[in-house]
Amino acid sequence: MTSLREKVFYRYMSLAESEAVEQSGLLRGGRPGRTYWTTDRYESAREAMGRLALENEPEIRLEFRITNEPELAVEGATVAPDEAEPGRGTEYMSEQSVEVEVGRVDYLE
Amino acid sequence: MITLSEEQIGRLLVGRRVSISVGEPWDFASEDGDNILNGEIVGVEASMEPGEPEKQKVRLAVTPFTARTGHRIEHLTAHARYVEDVGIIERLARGEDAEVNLSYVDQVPEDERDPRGSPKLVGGFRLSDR
Repeated sequence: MTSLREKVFYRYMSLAESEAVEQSGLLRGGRPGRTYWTTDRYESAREAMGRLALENEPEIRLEFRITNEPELAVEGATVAPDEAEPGRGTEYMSEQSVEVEVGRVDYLE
Repeated sequence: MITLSEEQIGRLLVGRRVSISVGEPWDFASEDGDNILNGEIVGVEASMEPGEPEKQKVRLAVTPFTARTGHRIEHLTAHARYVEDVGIIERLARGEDAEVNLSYVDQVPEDERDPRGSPKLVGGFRLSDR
């Protein structure tokens, strides 16, 4: 089994959240609750919103590696279609804090 | 051994309290706490056809909160976030977490909706004794 530490992941987010990640070193700034991320690299905000059935178009694509070992509650699940969104993206989820080393921060159109 | 249909199980769930762990929006807050929301099951909708777990919906009355859109939200409709063989009603009945999208589109007037958005929370919930 491949360790989480060996893989490159992405999370699509607002500018405010990316600033919280930068300050804390944790996805979602370490807030409680579920944390979602993906192995899918999308080139546009619209595509990310559609494939991951997000509430809004994200502003930022954060590329990162995980530096701790959060317990996975969801591992590579396929996102279901939702309303007008087609879904079919791949998603991971943990209820524990996710420590990250940020590789790239890209603004999405 | 008693065998119940999804619809029968669903009816037994009505009136049960639930605890919702909210993942999206990332900075969600309510009177119940950061990224937490409590509520009660007020209705269920299950397909009569077996093998269609994605059609299951659970209607929740929740602690009122103000959404990102500025609207006051009192109800959410939960449906499965992932493509899977087990429906959310069965997961709840097993005592497991149901991973869901929680829509409140019905409480946002059509002319006030963001055409680039879909008003909802994303998270998971389970039955609660509270």
